[in-house]
Order: sequence, then structure tokens, then C-alpha cells
Amino acid sequence: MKRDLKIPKVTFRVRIGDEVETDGGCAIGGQWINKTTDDFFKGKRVVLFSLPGAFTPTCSSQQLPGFEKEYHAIKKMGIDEIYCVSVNDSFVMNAWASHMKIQNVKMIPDGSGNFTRFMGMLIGKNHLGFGLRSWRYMTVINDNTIEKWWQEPGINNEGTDDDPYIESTPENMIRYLQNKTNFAEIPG
Amino acid sequence: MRVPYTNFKTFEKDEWTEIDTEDIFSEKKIVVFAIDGAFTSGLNDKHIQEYDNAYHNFKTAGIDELYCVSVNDTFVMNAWFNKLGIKNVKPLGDGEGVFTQGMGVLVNKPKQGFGMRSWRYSMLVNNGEVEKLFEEPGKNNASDDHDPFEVSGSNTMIKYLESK
Repeated sequence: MKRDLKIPKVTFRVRIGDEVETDGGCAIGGQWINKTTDDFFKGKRVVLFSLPGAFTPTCSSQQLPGFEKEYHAIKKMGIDEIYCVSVNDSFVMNAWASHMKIQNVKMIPDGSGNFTRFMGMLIGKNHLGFGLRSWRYMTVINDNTIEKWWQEPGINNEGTDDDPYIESTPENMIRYLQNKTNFAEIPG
Repeated sequence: MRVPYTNFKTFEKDEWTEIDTEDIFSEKKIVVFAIDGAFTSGLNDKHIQEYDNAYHNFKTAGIDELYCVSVNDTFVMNAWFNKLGIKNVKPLGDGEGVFTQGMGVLVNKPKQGFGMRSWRYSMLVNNGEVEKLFEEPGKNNASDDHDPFEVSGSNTMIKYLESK
């Protein structure tokens, strides 16, 4: 439904270098950097998947570990990077990635919701006391342009769903990329 | 002023529970302090650990419970409490920012890419009425501050309670 759409231009505030444990101390060694959508998406073919929140049950137990596990397989199918985006700040995204022992999937913290809003996916999760979050989707983005789009059924602002997780799975992604890859290999 | 009515959705022991401001504040003396985000800075770790360590002093001073409120959801609050090993302070995840907005302390944090968060403060709430508020100076919507932490710490609150 969003094929050929250009990715909105957004700047993310990203924390780096906080990983060093200070054992309860106050000092934090990290710093803020800016990352733009061009940094993430320009001149690359990447996978992006979104979820309603770090540390929440479905995505913690299935989606993120699923993409992490298939990272190398997916990269071999002509993908440069796999990104996970959520309306959480950079500290929370980093803490979650560390908690889940993520080595490969890269986190995009959209705490302000600006990226998710421009993607048309910012929805109310007030039934869970969450405020505004991302509806669950995944996409292949080729040089800032959407090549393929999946989103979970029943997008809504009222919490009239049980957080479906049917479309935006690593299995569907691999099936799509495999077909694409095979097709591209046919000579002529 | 009374604390704004809010129904908090919390996830505890694999179950959703709702706890509202009536449950929390009615017929009780409660101390609430607010931070700008779980996992966010060493300052927030320090803020909550101070209160957690001083829990028994607060009890002695006649306080029923200590709550830490932040514009984060219940899962993030729980994960942060677990990571820090907080034993006494209770989490109040105000993901929607309803409570924080009603308190008049919902601020934008654009430089951190945070969206709307709570300004740092502490307060003594007596049967739902805000009896004393310690708000950090320089509340603003532009991240135009160095995250002051002068008046909302546990020591200031204990001193206030003891002086009464």
C-alpha cells in the first residue's frame, strides 16, 4: 500500500557509549549524536520493522529475536541492514537491546514519534496506558524509497485489537526476499 | 490542589491491573517524585536510589508509600526497577502523560528526541491533596536546561517532614 513512497526526512537523537557499567555511580560516559533518515536509508537496501514498545511481551519474545536470529541469512539476500524502530527513547532502546543480547539488529529510537507520525503509523495505545506508539509494520526500503510493505491488520486508535503479529514476521520477509533473489538470478 | 484523577495501567506478575489515584492516595500520606525517563541518566538512578534507601526514614516520618512517576509505560518502568534492584519505591508508569499533564509539569524534550516527559519534582500528598510541592527551577519546553536536581531529592523531603 505504501510502495514507492519516499521515507520522510527526520533527525533522531541517539545515545552512544553508555554501555560502560558504572556500578550504581552517577557518571555516564555516553554522548548524544544526531542520526538522520539519510544515514539509515540513503543508498542502501534495508529491512525496517516496528513494534509498539521496548520490553513489551510479543515483540520481546518473538519478533526482535526472530530478526536477530535470521540477520545473516537476510543480509545474504541483498539486504544491507536490519533496523527496529519504536516510539521509545534511545536510552530505553539501548537498554532493551542489551537486555535481549542483540548484536546485529540496529535500533532506531523514535521517542518523539516524528518518524512514525510521518509514516502514518502513529496510533493511540491508551488502553495500555502507553500514549502514542507505532502500529506494527515491516518494510523493505531501497535508497529511501519503500520497495515492499507489510502491516498488521486492524490498525486503530482505540485498542480494539490484541496486537496481531501475523504479517510483520521474519518468515514473511525471508519468503519475499528469496523470491526476489531467485527472480533476479534468472538470466535475461 | 488535588492530584489529577488518573487510572494507571500496570502489568504485574503477568497480569494487567488498573490502579487509580483513589487507590494510591485516599486516606494516605504519600510522597511522589518524578523523573524524566527510565534508563535515561545516572541522575535518575541516583534520584530513585536515594528515595529507595531512605524508605524506612520516610515510614518513620509517617509516610505510607513512595512512588516514582515517569512518562514511560509499565513494562519499561518494571524493567528499569529490576535493573536497579529497587525494593521499596513503587513505579507509576504514566505512559499517556495524563497525570503529568494534570500536574502541569508535562514538558517537551526535543533535544533528546524524547517527546513529552515529566519535569523533575517531588511532592507530599495528603489524602489526595498536594500539601507540599518541590519543583526544580527552570521548567521549559525546549530542553533548555541542565536537568537541575536541587530540591526534589529525598533529603529535602525528609527535612520538610521532620520540620513539621
